[in-house]
Amino acid sequence: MRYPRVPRSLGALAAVAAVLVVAACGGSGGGGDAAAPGGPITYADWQIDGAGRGDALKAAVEGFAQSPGGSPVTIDQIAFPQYQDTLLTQLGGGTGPDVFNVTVDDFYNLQSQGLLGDLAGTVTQPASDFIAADKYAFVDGKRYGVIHSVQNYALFINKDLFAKAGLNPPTTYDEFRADAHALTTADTFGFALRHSTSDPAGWWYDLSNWVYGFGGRWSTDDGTPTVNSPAVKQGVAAFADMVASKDHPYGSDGATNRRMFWEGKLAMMIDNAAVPATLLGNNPNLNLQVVKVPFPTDSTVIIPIFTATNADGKQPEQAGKFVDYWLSKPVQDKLSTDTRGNIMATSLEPPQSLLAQSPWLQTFSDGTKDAALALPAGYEENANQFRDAVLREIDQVITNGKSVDQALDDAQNAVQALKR
Amino acid sequence: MTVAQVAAPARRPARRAGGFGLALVAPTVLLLLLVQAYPLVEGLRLSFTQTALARPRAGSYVGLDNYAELLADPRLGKILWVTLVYTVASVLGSLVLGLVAAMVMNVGIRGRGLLRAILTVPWAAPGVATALVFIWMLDSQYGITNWALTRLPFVDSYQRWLNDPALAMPAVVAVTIWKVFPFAAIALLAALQAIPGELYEAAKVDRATALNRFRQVTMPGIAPTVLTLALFLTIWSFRRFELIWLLTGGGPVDATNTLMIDLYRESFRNRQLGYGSAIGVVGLVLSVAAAVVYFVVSRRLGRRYGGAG
Repeated sequence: MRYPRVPRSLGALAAVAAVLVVAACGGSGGGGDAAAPGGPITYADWQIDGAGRGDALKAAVEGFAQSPGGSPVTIDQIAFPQYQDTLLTQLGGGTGPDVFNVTVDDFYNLQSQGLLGDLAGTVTQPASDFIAADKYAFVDGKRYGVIHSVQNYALFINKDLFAKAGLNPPTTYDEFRADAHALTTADTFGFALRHSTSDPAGWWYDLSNWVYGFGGRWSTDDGTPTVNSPAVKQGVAAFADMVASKDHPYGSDGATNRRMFWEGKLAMMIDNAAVPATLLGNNPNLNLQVVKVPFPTDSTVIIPIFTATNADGKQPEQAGKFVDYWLSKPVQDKLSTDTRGNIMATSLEPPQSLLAQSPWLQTFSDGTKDAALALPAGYEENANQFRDAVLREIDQVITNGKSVDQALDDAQNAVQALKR
Repeated sequence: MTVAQVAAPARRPARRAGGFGLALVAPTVLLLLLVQAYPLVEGLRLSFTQTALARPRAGSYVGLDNYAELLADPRLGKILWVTLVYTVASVLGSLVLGLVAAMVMNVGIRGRGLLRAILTVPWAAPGVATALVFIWMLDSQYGITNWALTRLPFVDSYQRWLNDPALAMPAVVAVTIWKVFPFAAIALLAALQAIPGELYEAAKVDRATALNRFRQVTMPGIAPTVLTLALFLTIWSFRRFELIWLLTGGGPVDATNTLMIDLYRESFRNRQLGYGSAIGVVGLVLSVAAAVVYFVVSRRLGRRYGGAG
């Protein structure tokens, strides 16, 4: 049987249609598209999130357009729980922003895949100009990013609620638990932490603070997992005990916890150096005190955040200029002030004026000495799988009452299997 | 006039119509090839590779390893069970609620047009916006649901709607039904309105009860629509992602971890595109199986009622 022939003109029509479809599908641009030099750049971050600190960061980013040789910046603000996945998907597809911020958790993964631009010729300042965490931006002696800021953790206290209850900030773990209980009323909770599967990164940081505070680590420096070590078990048991207690709002997420805090419905939370500006941006009258976390050891999580450029970006030259602009003294000084004392790239010696304005800066600055990465050594490239394996077991402890011993033994086996 | 003489002139216009028809469908076919066939083939190829998300073109061929790992995973049984529970509950709920809504609208009540317009709102609302609104409503501390419930004399504590393994699945199913049932309602309303009124009048003359009228007149009239709806809703439920992901992320303790959620988690969170693709292929096989069941049931119903099928 012969099928009817399609006339040549109609074949041409179909070909034109195909070209149009392909053009439409590829319209959003691939990494290899040529772009006019000196044109606008795209910048991705999760921290530009409104009142307080977010506004300060946004103003600084947009200021690049007015700087010598600068250009307009399109900001891609992505919520933190979605940030990692979105960024990696974009970069893996050969697209994505020209400049972006990335936590240490993803930095090495991106670098190992060749997705980060080499900044050797771009960052001309000596490393001694930057805070210590800048050392993590080097791989095999080559610079693939520059430290943007560090976030370590401390205990946030609502002074008004403590004063009302006649309490002082806790200095030991027992005092902390007693205070959390005493400050829980019909209208307030004593303490809150993140423990939700919808925000595994936030959950991991909070959990790691407890583990480190009890003297544990997820792995040794040579990459041997220590998930079921006695110290980790102690930290996890304390964490699970707090989640199960009525002193804590079970089911709340990070955003809710912070909102409760600035609304005076939460007496304590362990949070990072970026948060005071957000809290005070939403409630300037908040009576905030920040003290060191009163766990058995002083160790907390530190999250270095790096500014990096896209190896496949369309505007490599402008991206480099942006990094140079960002590290300039006027921008850094203004950021330190406007973010209410964040530890930024060049915040080596916070001036007294800044300490007077943001007294918690000293607490955070002191805390960096004993702080450690939440990223398990030896698992830099599959850190998320490590995290998922551990959190899945801890979810069983919190939700189904599985024993901490059994859960962490199972988690240890799971993370060991990742290495094989 | 012979049969050949009758047939001959008819063949030439048919040939022209065929060519023209092919040209008309060509853009659609090309589009489908690009957005359906290509991802399908690519997904299948990836499932036989070990590929990192950050370098999707640099994977290495591993044969059936991903499938072997998937089948050996003790979590697979629970994932399939959760997928089945979610699919059955949301499809049944949407169909039942949709049928009730359609029957209410089919009665000549005042403001029926307005009611129909309002009913389309959940269906028309973007899934992400819907999920975010319900996250607020179901928030354990600030949600209006807990606020309203604790006004009742017999409820004295807040419920953890999205964090309690016993409540998370019912909550996700309820949100899904709220979002989907208007589609079912509108489709079923059209089917109800196509049933001739004389059939109901004849049944009344025969003194058929309301239940009998529903069973003997309404059900046969809407059966093909119900069946088609069931197929669509099943496939949509099977591959639904954004509502579940935003509401619970698959938790707590995998209580809402459907196949699609696990696919995303493995592909994009754990960055294992190859393994995630193997999960996707399993999902595709199950979707095809659902479609086959539909066609078998459809054919039997067609024989029973003598209508479309």
